[in-house]
Amino acid sequence: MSYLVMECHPGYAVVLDSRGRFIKVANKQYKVGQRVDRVFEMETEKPASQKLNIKKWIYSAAAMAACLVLLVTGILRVDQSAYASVYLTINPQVRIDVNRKDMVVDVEGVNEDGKDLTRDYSHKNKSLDKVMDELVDRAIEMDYLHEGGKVAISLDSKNEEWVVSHKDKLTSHLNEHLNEKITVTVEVKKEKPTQDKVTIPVLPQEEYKDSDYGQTDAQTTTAPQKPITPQKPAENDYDEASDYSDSDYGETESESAVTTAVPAESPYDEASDYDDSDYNETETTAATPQRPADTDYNNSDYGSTDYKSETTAPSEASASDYDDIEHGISQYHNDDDDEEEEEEEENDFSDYDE
Amino acid sequence: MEKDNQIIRSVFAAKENIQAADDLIRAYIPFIRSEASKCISRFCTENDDEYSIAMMAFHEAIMGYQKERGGFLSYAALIIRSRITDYLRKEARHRGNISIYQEEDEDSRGLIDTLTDKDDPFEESARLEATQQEIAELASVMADFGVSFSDVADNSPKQQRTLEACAEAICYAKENSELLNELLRSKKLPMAELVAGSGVERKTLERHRKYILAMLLIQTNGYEIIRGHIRQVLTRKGGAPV
Repeated sequence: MSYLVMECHPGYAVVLDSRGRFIKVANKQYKVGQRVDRVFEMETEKPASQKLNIKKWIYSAAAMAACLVLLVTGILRVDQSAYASVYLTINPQVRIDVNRKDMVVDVEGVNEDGKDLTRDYSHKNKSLDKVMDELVDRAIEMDYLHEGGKVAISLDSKNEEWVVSHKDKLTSHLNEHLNEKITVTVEVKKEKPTQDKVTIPVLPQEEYKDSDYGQTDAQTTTAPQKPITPQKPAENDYDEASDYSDSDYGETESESAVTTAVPAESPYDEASDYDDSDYNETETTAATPQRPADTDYNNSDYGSTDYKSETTAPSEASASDYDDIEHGISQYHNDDDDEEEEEEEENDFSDYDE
Repeated sequence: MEKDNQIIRSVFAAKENIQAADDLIRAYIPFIRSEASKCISRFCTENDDEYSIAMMAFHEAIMGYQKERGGFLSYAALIIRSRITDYLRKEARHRGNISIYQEEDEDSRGLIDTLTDKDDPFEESARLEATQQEIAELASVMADFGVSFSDVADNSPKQQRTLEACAEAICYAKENSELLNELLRSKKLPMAELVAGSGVERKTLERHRKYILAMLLIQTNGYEIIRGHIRQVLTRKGGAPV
């Protein structure tokens, strides 16, 4: 390749190569018109580098935009995810999912009538209250709900506080809305993980039926004492369990009554003697070391009740071994020692603590 | 600080104006030479390749300098050093070869002198002169169009494919001399005709407008030597059947 020097500058020379390119090269004392065989080309990457800068800028901008999109969609997704569910049962049963802000994210008919009720119903941008009102109105329109009818609401949330705060609110709201023409029953339901199946020695039901405990069920509309099948936790039992927490038993150890149960009327009051009893004296040591909260209810007749099967409420600190206690009721005393191990596994009884 | 600002101001002036760039480079020859000397660990004379590389690097530094890159002189020094390093690395490939200028001992002449000259030196110098005249004339015509060789060099296609596309357009113009006359008369590049005639993308030609202009001017009368130099391009392309 030969180069014809076209122009000379102190910094560089412009040469025309035999392929017809004009290039800037190092000026090695060239003279215009001179032919040279070898040149040292100037690097001409400036436009390229500028382009690269722009590209880099675009990349970072794109990355930022992507992050933003992810973030926003993430937030929206969180907002859209069901935080709690309200089961509205008239006869049609409808599940209403709400997010943290009590905005309805989904409405779904649980049974056939429920599907019928929610057909063509749009819940977009509506609050829980509004959706409930509208659904009840629809139910009235569609002849599901009549004068003197009954509406059951059950709340399902991982957050107990939510359940507590909404229970009364929803009831009163609905009552207000229906103008007292329809009875509204409220059930509180908390979501619990299914528990380990641990068989619990069961005593004849009658025994505890005689006791006040049996009456607890009267409080709630649902599931009274079931034939004792611990493997099969019935959801409704939770409610009952909550009542217990308010009972005097609870007071014995821990003040925190988490549940929303109605305290005063509960038959437990009658059972209040227990408090005075030796329950409190508890040998804490007897309780399992891992979860001191566990009480040894198992052995007692109480164990045979449904309470066992369902509740997994967090165990409170104090442990009272009812078993060991000197108590008038003989059933409580059943084989304490054998069952301690089982108790470890079962959170169920912890409700008693409360 | 004041001095720094002054340099930067003149650098930015030099970016716009070739003459200013030349002046700036001339003013900084001592600096350039000292940087080059530092780099090759010996005194750098004007005949050293490194010297011209350094000069070119300084020019490059002027063109590439941006304020956020720090002080100009340190930036220029960096560019000079890296260009010389590049050059030395490149040259290392040829290290095994002897130079034709090398002298074996003191009184013997260089190898170059033993080579027989093909061309008569007088003829050679006459040709050089003719070439110079041609180039000077071309430069003055191009100046009418407001284009210098430096502009053309900046505007010249880098890729082989683009180069060939441009060559196609140039060949088309060469075969249609009325286009060239039109160019000289109107001082405007007949872009539409070039695109239509050669079938090259208009965008490609527009991007290398100055280059096309220079090449077309070379195709007009009177630049036999230059045309002879780039004959390869034109014959190959021109010879190719349409």
